[in-house]
Amino acid sequence: MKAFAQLIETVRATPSSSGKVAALADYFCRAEPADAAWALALLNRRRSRQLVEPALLRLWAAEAAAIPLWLIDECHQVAGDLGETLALILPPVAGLNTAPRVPVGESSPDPQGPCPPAHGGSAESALSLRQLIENRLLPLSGLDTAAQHDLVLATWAELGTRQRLLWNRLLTGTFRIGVSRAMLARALARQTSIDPAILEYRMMSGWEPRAEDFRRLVSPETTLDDAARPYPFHPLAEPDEAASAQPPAPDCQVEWDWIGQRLQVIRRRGHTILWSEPKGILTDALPGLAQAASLLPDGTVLEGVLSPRHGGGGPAEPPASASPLLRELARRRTATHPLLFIARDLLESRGVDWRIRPLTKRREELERLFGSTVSAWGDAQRQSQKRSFEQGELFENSAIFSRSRANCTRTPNPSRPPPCPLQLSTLVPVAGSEWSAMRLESVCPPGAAGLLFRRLDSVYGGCRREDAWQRVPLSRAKSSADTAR
Amino acid sequence: MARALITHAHSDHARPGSQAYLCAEPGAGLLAARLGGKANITGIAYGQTVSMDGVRVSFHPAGHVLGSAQIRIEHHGEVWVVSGDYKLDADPTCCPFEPIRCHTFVSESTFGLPLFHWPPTTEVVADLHAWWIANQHAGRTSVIFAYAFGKTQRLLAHLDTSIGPVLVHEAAHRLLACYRAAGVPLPPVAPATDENIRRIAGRGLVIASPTSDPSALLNLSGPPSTAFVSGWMLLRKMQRDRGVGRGVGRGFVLSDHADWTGLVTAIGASGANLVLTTHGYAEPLARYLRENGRPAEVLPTHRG
Repeated sequence: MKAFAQLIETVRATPSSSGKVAALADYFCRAEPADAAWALALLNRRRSRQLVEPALLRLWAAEAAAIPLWLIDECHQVAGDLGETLALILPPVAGLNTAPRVPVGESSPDPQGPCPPAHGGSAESALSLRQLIENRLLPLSGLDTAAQHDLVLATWAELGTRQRLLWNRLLTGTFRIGVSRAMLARALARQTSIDPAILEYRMMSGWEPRAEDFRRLVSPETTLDDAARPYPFHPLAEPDEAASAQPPAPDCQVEWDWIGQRLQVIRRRGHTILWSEPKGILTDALPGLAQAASLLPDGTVLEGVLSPRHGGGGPAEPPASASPLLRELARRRTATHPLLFIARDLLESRGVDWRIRPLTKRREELERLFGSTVSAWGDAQRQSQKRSFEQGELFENSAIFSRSRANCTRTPNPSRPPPCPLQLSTLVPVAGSEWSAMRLESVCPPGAAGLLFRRLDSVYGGCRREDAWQRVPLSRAKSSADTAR
Repeated sequence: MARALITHAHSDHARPGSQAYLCAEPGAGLLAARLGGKANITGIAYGQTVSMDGVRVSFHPAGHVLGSAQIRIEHHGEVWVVSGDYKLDADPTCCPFEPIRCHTFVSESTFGLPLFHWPPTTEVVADLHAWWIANQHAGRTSVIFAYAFGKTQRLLAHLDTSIGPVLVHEAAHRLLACYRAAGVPLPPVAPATDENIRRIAGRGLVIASPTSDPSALLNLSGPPSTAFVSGWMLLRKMQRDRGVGRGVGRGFVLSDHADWTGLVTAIGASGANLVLTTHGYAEPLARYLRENGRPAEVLPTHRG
């Protein structure tokens, strides 16, 4: 607990991220797994909710410190933060007025009782982070106000100023710290010599702040879930406003530059993972897409963009200049519409890393894969429609039937399957004559922001100049086509 | 002024231009150094009384910096004490604060809010030593920003100079002679000249003025680890203002002023039936005192 409060202080005061990582690594190296598990949960932005009203804390602190409320408010104004104000105004441990409101023995704040609070306690607390959270913080939600009062004051009485600040933040659900998941992974990697990417992936999968889960998290054993880890995304350059107004070089692949979340579709050992940057795993959030992706052969990783379903009756993105209300309505509309994954690269096929092969080869393989997957999708859809129709006959008056009928009325031709949520990024032809004849603006699909140029011999994730992606925003691309004409 | 009574030699308490200055004896050398050689300064020993036009004046230790004094003024049995700046915490560079009974007590209130409770000095100094050693392991020069008069010398008195070489800002270095002349034992240290900084780069500690530019040090010693030493460092808001977490790496809480408990204790010990609060959080301190049965008013700080 003391070590964790100290860590927070150090991380806050250290400007460099390498310094922060060193402090984190040092903490995780020394901490007990049970404490480290909670520390990781807190640092990894698992927010605690507000367990005690800030207004009540203010009253209790006034009582414990024997200070009038107006003076607390003066202090709050100067310090600018209630949690910090209350941590500071409470006098050193011995001077605290912690008379319990609940007669001792009537109600025990901690049913397990491994760590009874010491009233008016000794100089420094020996509470561990786990004890603070499991024996003090979490039980609060089940207590009445009087019992909460006693537990909060008893805990204040045991803590130093820094620890009180942490405790206050946990109480009010306002604990925040500028540490990224990548930094945590780097810190843990120092201790465990496991690839930070694997650690980051494990951190995003399901785990609970328990000692055994923490041990599993940093275990050197590569378990099945590590097989689902993504590749680092290729660096995405800013749109190049100053791109030369020339037709693209003939050794470039040109495609639409989509607006949306970057995503990797990972299919390994019978599992499907949708990994996005920076949101992490989205598999559960996108069931339709995950279902379609499960048709991909094992040992496949695709890279692309998650984009709202445009065209085919889908709503177009309103311009940035549209009123917030309009944009919000559009957002809600797209939220109810399924999302599309537009695949633009292939990183792994048949279990082999394809990233260092030239783009032309990757594209060929990607197109081959898509041919078989999309037809598999069509078959699966026709099958499932047939099934639901049969079910509808069986349960004529059931809710299932009325829902499926409602779906049918919306689909003009029920025998035609809906478009596959996996789409192949369409190429824009680059031959000189076609380029100049094209009116880019009229053929640009909604949701595309411009053009993406990649050299045919470029490798994925490479850092040579010829590997760089060039993004040309639409207005510039249009004028480039105009110039050519 | 024809005659100025000076509590201590900080520039907001001792301005040039008066015909005669009266101060506590241990601070006379410092006052001369601060005001320039021509000032007419008389130092009188702590506790010694001088009479002026029927007013009895004496100086008593305030524990703020070397030579700092509370000035006791007595006229027809009515006693006022003007405390100047004071602190109750132990300080090896000056005499400890001495409570004086009086009718009216003029108190500073720089830290006159119950936010301010100073951590024990030994704890702060231990943290500072640990920070210095960690910087040495990282091959970085340690730079502390601290006021040239008072804070720098107090730090010097506390520092364990066996850890590594220490340099002090040249303005502070000039005052060391006054301290040594007054019998304050301070370790031998060199001034922070460019050449000296280069010599101690990566292992030494430099006590710099709060106004000095850390980027100047960059060329001399490589990127330094920096820290700010002040009572204000208790507040995160003040730490942010001072650049903690960006340029400045650390804030150490060490003040030459009384904290909340110190102020309330000193005021209580004065037994005064009127307290005049000034400079700082005078308003809330006065209101708190009134609500606790001690008449108190705000004395507006006069800045000229």
